[in-house]
Amino acid sequence: MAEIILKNLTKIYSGDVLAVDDINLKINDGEFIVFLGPSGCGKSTTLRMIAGLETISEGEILIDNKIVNDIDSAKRDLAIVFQNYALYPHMSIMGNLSFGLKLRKLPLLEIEKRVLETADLLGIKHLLNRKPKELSGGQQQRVALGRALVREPIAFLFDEPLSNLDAKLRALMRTELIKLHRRLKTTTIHVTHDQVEAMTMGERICIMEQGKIIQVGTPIEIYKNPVNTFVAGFLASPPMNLFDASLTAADSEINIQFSGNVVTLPKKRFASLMKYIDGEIVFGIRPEDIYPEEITENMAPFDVTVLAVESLGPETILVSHLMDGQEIYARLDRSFKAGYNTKIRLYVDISKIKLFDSKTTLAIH
Amino acid sequence: MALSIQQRDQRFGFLLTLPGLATLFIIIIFPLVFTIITSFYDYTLLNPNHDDFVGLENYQEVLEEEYIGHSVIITIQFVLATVFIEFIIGFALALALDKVQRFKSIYYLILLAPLMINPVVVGLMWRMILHTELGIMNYLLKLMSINRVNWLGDSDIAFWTIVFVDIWHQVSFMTILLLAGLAALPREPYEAARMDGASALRCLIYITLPLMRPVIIVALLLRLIFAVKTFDIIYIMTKGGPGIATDLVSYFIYRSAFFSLDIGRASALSVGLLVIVLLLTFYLYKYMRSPN
Repeated sequence: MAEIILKNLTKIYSGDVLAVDDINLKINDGEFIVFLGPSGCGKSTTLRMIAGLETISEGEILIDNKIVNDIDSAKRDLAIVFQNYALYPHMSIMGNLSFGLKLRKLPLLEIEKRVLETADLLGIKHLLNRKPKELSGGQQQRVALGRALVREPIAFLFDEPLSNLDAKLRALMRTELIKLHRRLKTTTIHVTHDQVEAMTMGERICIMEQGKIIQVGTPIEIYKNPVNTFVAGFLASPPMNLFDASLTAADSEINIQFSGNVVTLPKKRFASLMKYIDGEIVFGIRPEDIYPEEITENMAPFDVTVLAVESLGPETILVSHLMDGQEIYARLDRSFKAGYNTKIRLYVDISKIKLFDSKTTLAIH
Repeated sequence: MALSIQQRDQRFGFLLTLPGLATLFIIIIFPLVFTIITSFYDYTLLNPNHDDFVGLENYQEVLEEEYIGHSVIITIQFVLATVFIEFIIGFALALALDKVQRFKSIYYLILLAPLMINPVVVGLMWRMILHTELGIMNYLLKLMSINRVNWLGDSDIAFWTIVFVDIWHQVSFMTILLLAGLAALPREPYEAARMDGASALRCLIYITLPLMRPVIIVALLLRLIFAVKTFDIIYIMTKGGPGIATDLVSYFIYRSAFFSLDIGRASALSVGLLVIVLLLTFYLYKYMRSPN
């Protein structure tokens, strides 16, 4: 069990490549936190610094209130699961699982007991005498996980462990990892670029971009209130629709003009929007907040041309053109039907509209 | 009748390989077959013809030869000493060089320099360096008030001098092979081992050595095959002497042929050596072809 604190953590690679830029984060004891971001955002580097596999350029890492900057990874008592599993190719699965315990000079009986328990838990007991290369990807992944579990470390570090698995197995392992965490309550940092993984697994998500932490919060918080256009455009699939728009004030209303459409906002938003009047903003709406008909009073219509109707079974994704050719995604009921190139009218739920400053990209509340 | 495209291709391919095949025949196949045939005849330089067929008599004579046992034993000693020491030094050097980032090419150049020198030149060079009266080695020893050593003239020391020179010449071959092996090792198991709590020494014992096993075996076997055939250094530096202290099998064969002028017997010896080298090579080939 461990609480991990990152203080002004910075990583500069040889020369001047700033991989991690002054990040601060407290990971609570027993928490399952997901580092989410596109490749090259510094999430893996951060994880590797916590693991002790990368040196720290500036700042501190504290584990249970102890600075570990100069403590060797072998002594931090953390366990990592790598993306490519990194099993010991020359050892049997038994050898792979017991290696860390042997190094810690545990009694042989204890080692055997723990290995068998872990193998049983992960359903790899029948593979103990095999070599890693005789195993399938999914089985190797379980062994890599087992190697981390068997040591009973104070925290787990997962470095995109599911990204080499096929979709079905990935979904299965996702659930298993969550179940495992509920049972063990061990602090877990899970690095991924897959936002579905982040949404479903994380108690909290920490979104990173270009070495910086952009937003930290529960999945639903981040989904509801993305702090900037990057988070809005990154989370969920399809992500939030974002359009450049201009604001004009008329009488007691504010009009947002985007792609030849006008959406009129209620007065209560006035205060925070005053300084953007006659200026540029970014207008955002999630695909699930768009409807094919007016179901409440609080809706604004706009016209589109149908490009594709993707039926996913339980729902339908409508891809269409706005008047100026920009694409807009809508998540509609499975009963929705429309022909290619037909013009239809869609409605946005005004209360769900998000507005962002077009210069700073930050959300306007 | 016109040839088909396939036939023309085959003919062209054959024409291309012909010079290579001819060279191979002249410098390898012909001498090999000639040696094997000669080993069954009483063929001396005084009587250079295949008139007297003697069957296995040459082979029998070889086995009864008084000093062949001695040559075989010191050859084995020589091979084991050079290959073992070269492996230890070569592995240490490879481990050290594997992590080097700066001036890598300079280290490589220094390392490869001995290997690029002709063995005859190596022999001559070291003969001068180790010369009892005029050599720089004894001069340096004198500066340190150490009595001069008769490097090549003392029958107890000469063997180890030859071993040393061979190591100096060949150790970089071992180093380069092992270095290539180390460079090809995956990085991930090391990180996993560090997380598992392994020290650098334990990583070496439990990760590097087992993963390097195939490369190590190939490097050892290659050097073993070369070392068994060592001739040039002996010829240049000691001529098998003093006495027969450095009379390796290859030099023994040379003496039989060109001092005793008994080509038939030398051929029988050569065939024997060839069989040993072939067995080693066959094992190496099989090992390299095996899936593990």
